[in-house]
Amino acid sequence: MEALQAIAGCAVVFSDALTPALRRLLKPFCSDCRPVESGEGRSEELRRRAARILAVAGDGSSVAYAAFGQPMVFGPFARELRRQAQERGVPVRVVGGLSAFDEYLVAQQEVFGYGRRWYQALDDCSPKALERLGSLDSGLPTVAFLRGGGTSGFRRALGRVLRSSYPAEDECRIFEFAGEGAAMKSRALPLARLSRLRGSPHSRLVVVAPGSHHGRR
Amino acid sequence: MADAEGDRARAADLVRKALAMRAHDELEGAANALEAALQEDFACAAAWGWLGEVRLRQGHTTAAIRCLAEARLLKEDWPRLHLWRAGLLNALGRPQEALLALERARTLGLPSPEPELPVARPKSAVGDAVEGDLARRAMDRRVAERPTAERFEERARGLKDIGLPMEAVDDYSTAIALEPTALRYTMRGRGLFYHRHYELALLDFAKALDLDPRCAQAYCARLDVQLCLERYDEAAADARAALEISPERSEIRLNLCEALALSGRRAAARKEFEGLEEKGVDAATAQWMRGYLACLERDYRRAVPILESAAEMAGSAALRERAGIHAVAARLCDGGRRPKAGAKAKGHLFVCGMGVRPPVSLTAEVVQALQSCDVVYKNVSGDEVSTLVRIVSLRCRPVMFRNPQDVPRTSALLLSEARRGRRVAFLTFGHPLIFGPLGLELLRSAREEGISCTSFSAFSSIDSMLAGGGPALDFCGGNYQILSVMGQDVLQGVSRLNPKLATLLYFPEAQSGDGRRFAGFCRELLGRFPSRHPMLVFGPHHEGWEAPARRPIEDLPSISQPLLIQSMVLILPV
Repeated sequence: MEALQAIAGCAVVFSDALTPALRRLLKPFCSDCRPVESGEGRSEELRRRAARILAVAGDGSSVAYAAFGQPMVFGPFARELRRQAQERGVPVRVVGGLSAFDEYLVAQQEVFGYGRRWYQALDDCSPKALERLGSLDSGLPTVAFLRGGGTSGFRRALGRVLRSSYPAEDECRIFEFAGEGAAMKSRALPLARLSRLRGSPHSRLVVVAPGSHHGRR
Repeated sequence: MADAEGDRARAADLVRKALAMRAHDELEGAANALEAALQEDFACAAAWGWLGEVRLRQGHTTAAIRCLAEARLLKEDWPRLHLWRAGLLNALGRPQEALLALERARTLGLPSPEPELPVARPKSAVGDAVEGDLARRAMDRRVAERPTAERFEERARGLKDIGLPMEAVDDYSTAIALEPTALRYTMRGRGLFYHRHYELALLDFAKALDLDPRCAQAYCARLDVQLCLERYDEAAADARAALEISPERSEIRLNLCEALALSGRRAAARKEFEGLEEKGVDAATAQWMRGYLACLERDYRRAVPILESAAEMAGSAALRERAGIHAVAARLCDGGRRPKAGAKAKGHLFVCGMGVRPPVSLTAEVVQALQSCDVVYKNVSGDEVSTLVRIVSLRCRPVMFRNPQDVPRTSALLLSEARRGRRVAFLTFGHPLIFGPLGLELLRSAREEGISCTSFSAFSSIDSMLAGGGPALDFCGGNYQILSVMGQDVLQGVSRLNPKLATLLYFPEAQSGDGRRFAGFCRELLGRFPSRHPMLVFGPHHEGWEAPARRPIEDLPSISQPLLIQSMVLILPV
């Protein structure tokens, strides 16, 4: 509501996640909704995109950038936007959103019950990051988050690190958020079959692997 | 009526069964039977009292406090109850208060020979977090110094603030026993209202008004109960009486208008809002009130421009924010859909959170879900929250959920509504499923019973902190170990911590936590990292909210306990 209130006072809202449903939601608050890419890009590219947004604010209008997830977490584009705005003396207000952390916490509580308080969280499941990590503590649960279901390379790398850390007969639990308005589904999957898991670009997967001392209790 | 008698009879049977088990020292079985009795009859004083005694014997002092307080509300003149209270207060190290309770028991007439005081288990086995709370200890000390009505009242206010409402009610009872005043009855009545003891609350307000017929607070409190019970005429009468005493309080006029609008007397409601400016209400507030009335009449399209103009006119930031947020809610409701009238009733349960900064942190999907509900049970108090929820849903009832032992009763209440084919929502502070045993239980029970259920993510304290401190996480490559400090497993497992992984600490229960435990945790943690290793502390009360400064890990123990609950600590990987 805080974000919508801010958007209601803006001339234009840019978003990196402008799906038809989001457009429908934003329209009554701001009639000018425009898409913008925010993905990793060369810094020059980020600068150029940020400048395009700030050009709208140049005439004294307020402008909003509605980001997927938390704008400032893993958000080089939001930070570039803020840097340029500060340079130009344009006041900036950051309004938080719901983050993947909430989904970690909910998923781990669903599996381990209320009160479980320690686990390993993998927000970056790229093969490079997982290789750097080596192995996980087999005594602790692991909660991994795959945006857009992750690429097959990400899923394979995650399967590898989980199999090397936990007993092969362990099962993990998959929580799938299959896009707008869809209810979350959860199912059990043997670790050995994790690499065969499929994800769609519109889904988010949270994989929970139990630590050995929680096993099949 | 026959149903109620049947419930009472079943509860009495269960109490008898529990007492037989208790006589054979089967304490857990007795406790279970007594809890079952309360499921049958929530107003069974004997079940509450004996459950308190059993919990005390088991060493669960926090649960015992709550049970004995409930029993006291229902049957204050039960001598044995005061004897148990004396035992409990003794176990908590509050001998002066124990003496007062014992005196009361003797006044009421104890059986001869006098029963022994119940003995709690040794404290080491109890492990009650309450005992470690410094604020609580300071309040207890002040009562011990001088156990007067004023000191009990003062502690009651403090207990309410630290989230112990039932203990607060108990202290108001003691203050009333020592020196009854209208305000004390009113405050206790408010506590009872939030525990859904509606009739007892109404009795307290009546007693307050007997003592002081010009006690505006009592009228205001009573009209809240009447609104909740959908007795709109009585609510309107209370609002009018309160307005006569305090005509300058515009929120009472708003309540009057609510009562009139909800009872379908729209013309009378609108009349109340005519010429508000001449009655001393400023123009922006008057405009907001007219917009709010349009929302109550469910004319959202008309409400939006009125509320937006109120936000523009507002001189104070608070009114600007309130009118602005109400305009957003009205816009969302204007686009939302309610199930068609006459459509086949199908029960549905929504588990919703208001986020950690209600009402602004409410999400759009929750607003639209609430709008589609027949009844909303609200576990969040405060005028700002209440007015917003009323914009969205007309049937809103308070439900007080504080302790894990309230889970079965509250869950049963909500599920019974859904079983009757109603669309019911549980609305709570923060995220309903993060450290939310009730939310999790609701989902589990609804699935088991085949009741359709939807839960929504909400803006949690972690989100609030990440909104500002998020860039810090980029230092770590995205992978962490997350520890919710104060959990026993965390405190025992620090030696297994992997310093090569970024470590994120957060403290959701620091308020009720034990300072000594935290100090022990810090000692263990410091031993796992090199000296002067960097950490980042972020949260609304720390410097550098947007770009937290690096501090040496040795600073961790110096963060004061009350700030911890809103803090997050990131220890960088070695």
